Amino acid sequence: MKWKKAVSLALAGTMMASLAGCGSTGGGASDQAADSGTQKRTIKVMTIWNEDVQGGTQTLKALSDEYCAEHPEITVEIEVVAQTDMPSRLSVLAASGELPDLFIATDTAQSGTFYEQGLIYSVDDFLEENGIQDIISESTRQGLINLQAAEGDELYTLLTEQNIEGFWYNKQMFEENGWEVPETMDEFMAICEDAVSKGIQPLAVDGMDKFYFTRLWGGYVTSKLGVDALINANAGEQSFSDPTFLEAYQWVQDLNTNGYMGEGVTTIDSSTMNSMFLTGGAAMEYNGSWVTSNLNNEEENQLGENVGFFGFPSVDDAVADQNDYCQNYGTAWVIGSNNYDDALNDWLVYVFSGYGDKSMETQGMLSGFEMKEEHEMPYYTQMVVDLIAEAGEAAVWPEYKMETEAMQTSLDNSQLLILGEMTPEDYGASLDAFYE
Amino acid sequence: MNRVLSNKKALALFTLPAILLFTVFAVVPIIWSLFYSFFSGMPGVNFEFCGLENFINLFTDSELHASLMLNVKYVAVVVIGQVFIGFALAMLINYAVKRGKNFVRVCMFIPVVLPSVAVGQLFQKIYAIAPQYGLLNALLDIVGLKFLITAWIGDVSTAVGALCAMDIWKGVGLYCLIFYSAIIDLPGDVVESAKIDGASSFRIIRSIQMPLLKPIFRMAFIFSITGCIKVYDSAVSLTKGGPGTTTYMPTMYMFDEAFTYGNFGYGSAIALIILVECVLLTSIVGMIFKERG
Repeated sequence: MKWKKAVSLALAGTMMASLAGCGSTGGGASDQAADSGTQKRTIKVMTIWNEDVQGGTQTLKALSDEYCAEHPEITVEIEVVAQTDMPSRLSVLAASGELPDLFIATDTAQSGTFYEQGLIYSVDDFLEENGIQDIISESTRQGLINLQAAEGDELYTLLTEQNIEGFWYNKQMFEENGWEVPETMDEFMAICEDAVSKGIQPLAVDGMDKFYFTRLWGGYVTSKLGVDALINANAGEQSFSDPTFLEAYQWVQDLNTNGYMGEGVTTIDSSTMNSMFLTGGAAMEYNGSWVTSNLNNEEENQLGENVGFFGFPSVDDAVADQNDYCQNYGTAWVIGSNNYDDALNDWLVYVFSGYGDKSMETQGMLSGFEMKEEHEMPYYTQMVVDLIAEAGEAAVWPEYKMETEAMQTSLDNSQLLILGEMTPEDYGASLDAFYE
Repeated sequence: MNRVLSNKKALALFTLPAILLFTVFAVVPIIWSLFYSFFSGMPGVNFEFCGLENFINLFTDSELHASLMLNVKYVAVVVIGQVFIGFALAMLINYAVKRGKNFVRVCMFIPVVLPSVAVGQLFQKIYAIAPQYGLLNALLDIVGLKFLITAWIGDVSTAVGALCAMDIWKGVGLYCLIFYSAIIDLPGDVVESAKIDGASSFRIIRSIQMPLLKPIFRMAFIFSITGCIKVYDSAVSLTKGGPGTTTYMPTMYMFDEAFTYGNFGYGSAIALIILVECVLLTSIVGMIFKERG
């Protein structure tokens, strides 16, 4: 009998311990303070940028700190998650009904699913209920809607940046070697060939993150078929094995096999790519205007104001213009709906009403939110503003609306493509498989 | 002691905590995985019963098959490397190192306690080719073997080998220590009499020590095989599965299916396959050592 009692006690103890454990982790993303008298509220934010580096977190933190100084009952907890881990973290949190109050959505398809399941709050409703529709221009709103995965005309994502993409080049190196800014693909390839013959690496490319490879073939396709080509392909109305697509894949593969991307391109990350270019180790790099934060940084940028920009060179029989840049709005902020209340609403209104100005003040970055004040912009930020003002039609990137698995396949296989381990035909077929 | 061990109630009490922990942390998750594998989608979002669909998909999923084949090759290389190099090093410490054996053992064990992420970062630098040569390529350059210089983790033909080498380096210290502890516990009189009979060191190792160490070999193989089948962190930290999917292990595929693509059910079905693979290979090891032992 004594043994039975001992076993019963041990089991009871184990159960109590496990119950106590559950209690200690039971606080959710929207944990409202028990003391309703003080109306304490903890707002949970999940982001991909550390506040010490440039990115949306710096802007958000600066505004949030201002708000919390006036509202001591509000506490904001910011958790930083690696960009690649964000979709999996959000999946787990969504499964347990614990999505944060505000988070960065790196996966377009996933945020579309969340929206369809009612897990995220409509940005249109948020703006309209608070009468702040003017913080985003109508063209930006429409641009954002076009990039959303869910059907319909309702905005559920907020932007973090306003970017154009293209080639950044070393002006001094171009002058010294007698190279003109290329307007056609033939001119571009001639520069690459000449550079290699002189022992200069033509292109610095971040091959570790893979998407730069697909942006390159995406630019080629857009140039030849126009800005609708990738939109149609993402909608399943255009084959990824179309002859022009195959030509584009072959072109990217040739860039590497001809040695234009340097050695071991698949092991180069974005900071190495930028440092190679900004220290004169390569003549050009393909990048988005998010690189202006690096260009404006005197410690990083040893080229000073010697960096220029040109759009994707026109391929033979091009339909798009060279200034039809691929444009994006950075990774999106998304508002969780589970714990949406007045306290969260007020905080969001304060943060996003001042986002445009604060982003420019703290980082010299264009956020895409409307600015209420005049700002003296750093050299490269002003350059981007001028380029956007003169931009033609906005183009999209190859995976802009793909399902997560299709996007991953496109990115993974792009490395195999450029290494010559996969043929352009097989690459196209691997993407078409998701639309059968 | 015998009286205590013959008391079934005492035995039950002593083993209960272990059984309880094993049940909570091993048996329950396995049953939970099995349950999940009959569903599609993401729990709490779009989770729906799908019957045997996930299991049927396992047979037609070429990406999973490629990943499993890769894992089998990786297991073969790393297990043999870890166990036999570990054994060789243990013998070396036993016979060749006269002074500072403890220091050598500690040095051998350091990589084992290093976090995989740190080891991955370290080897990324060792294997680097650009913007500067890493340690390996720099050494090849110095000794005049320039034709061997390559992007070790950026090239499809060398990435798996580079990963295997890193994991052998990281794990070999553990097996070295296990074998060394077993070697010094072997009965000295057997070895002594063999020496008196004129047996060479090689003969003593092959005909006396290795047969006596069979249970240790069996344990080492099982440890190494299960560890290698479950490889995740080292592959993620060194190559992220790349280039392309060259080093994309089944555990990474399982994680992506469950957490990145939101297919919890299919991810659970893959987890069960990994479990079956573990059970199968360890059973084979058990049978081999049973027959020969």
